Amino acid sequence: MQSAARKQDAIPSDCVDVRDLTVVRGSRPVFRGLSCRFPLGKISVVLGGSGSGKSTLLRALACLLRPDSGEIWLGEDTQLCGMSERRVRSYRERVGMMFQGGALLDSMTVFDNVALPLRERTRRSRAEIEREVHGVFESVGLEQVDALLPGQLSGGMLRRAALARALITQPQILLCDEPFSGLDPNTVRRVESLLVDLNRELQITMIIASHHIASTLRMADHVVVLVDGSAVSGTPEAVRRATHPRVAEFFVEEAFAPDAEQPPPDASGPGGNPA
Amino acid sequence: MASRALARTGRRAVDFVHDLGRLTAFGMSVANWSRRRPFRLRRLIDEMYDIGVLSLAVIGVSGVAVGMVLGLQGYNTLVRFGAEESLGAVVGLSLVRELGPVLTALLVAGRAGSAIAAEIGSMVVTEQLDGLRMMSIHPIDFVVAPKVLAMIACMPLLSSLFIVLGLFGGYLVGVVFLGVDPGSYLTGLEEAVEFSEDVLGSLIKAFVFGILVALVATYRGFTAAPSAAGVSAATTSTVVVASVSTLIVDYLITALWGV
Repeated sequence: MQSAARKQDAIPSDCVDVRDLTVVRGSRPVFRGLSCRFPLGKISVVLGGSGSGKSTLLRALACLLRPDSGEIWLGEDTQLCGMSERRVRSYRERVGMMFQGGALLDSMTVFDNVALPLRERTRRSRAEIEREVHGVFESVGLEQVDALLPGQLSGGMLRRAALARALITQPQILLCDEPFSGLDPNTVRRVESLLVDLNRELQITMIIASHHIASTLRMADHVVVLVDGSAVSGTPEAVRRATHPRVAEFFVEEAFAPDAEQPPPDASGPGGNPA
Repeated sequence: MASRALARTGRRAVDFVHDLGRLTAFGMSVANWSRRRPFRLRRLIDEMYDIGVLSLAVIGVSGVAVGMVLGLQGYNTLVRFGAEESLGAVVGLSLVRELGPVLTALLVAGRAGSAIAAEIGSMVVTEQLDGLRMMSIHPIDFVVAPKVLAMIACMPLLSSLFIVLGLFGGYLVGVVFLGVDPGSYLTGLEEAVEFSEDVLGSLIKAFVFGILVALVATYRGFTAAPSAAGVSAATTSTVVVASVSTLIVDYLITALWGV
């Protein structure tokens, strides 16, 4: 009891604290004893190669999977692992998640998809919902998509629609799974600057899983690199200069990858972090 | 060699019991969510359209065809004993007591059940169910319960339609083509088929088959592996499991309650 209290004392109030997290899929451990932190109100980017566990970590943060062991603390008083279903539902009301493939319901129009959380969770009138949905469409740069089905959208539009749905309830934490993959450089910039603006205006905590180095260096306040089941974290510059051989290798590999986006000529991204 | 086969059989038996337990828990969860507010009337109507209205053609054609075959076979058999006037009773009892609910369940499992499993399975693959969870909407409440309720509501209706069209098919062959007296056909039918035993029993069977097919289809889709192969396996297994269990449950209902 005493040690539990002591342990809790050490939990910082200003971050999401992942402690000794172990997730095993089948017989393969995705990570074993992973520990890292994500500061609240900041943009954190989780980097890592394919299969490094970025999406798995995000799913654990969203309580979409139960880790085999470990703890995830949101501030000092909420332990996400092992919460009851009722508490998980209440936690998720504060969290938005943008899935890699959009995860929009393909039998409903884009408008209905984005309006769904408001219809289900609030008692707002039809006019209010319509106003809010169109407001969020405007902020993500979507026009005239109300009556379209998700299957009729391009990749970039689909991601923005997914982002709109994640933002419609004004979450305190936004989890984004590969928001830039498969997007052209212009759309990457647009989504990137949108996320940065939202973070700066609303202080939304953002945790973004990505392998897009250029965007990460431009927008992140905090970077967590997953290598060999463990995490190396810090500011983008600190991580870039890390001596860990796999991290250095990852940055070099990604920088020379054929689809890696080149940094902009003015070298300063929307996040204000120099590339 | 023998011990390995025994171990495999044992493992399968344990898996089967485990699966049955999970299906039961899933069914209880569906029942629990189905009675909670809000009642999703709009979604229920949409699902009834998909399951019921879109199955009308296959049920209608099959019903008439089965009735015509019954009429022909029944006539050929009865005529040997000079009892062709009983054709209405034979066609009616066969359709109402067994063929109507059972064949309807098999057809609906093949058409709508497989579609349900594929739809929910693809929602698993594309993380749509997780998307709902992230909006604090339970997938069983939003996706599964309306489908199950719609299937339960539609199955007795489709079965009734199958029976009516089957009777028409039997009439067509027996009376119009083979010359059985129309009055005898209809009187035989009316006298043989009891409402309280036969018709009610038929509706109960259809209702039970509706629950069975709906639960198997939604459960298989819901637990599909998140891959194309997983969806395909869920779809195939829905048709096989729903069809076989329909036949087994039909026997059990008939043996235990005599309907």
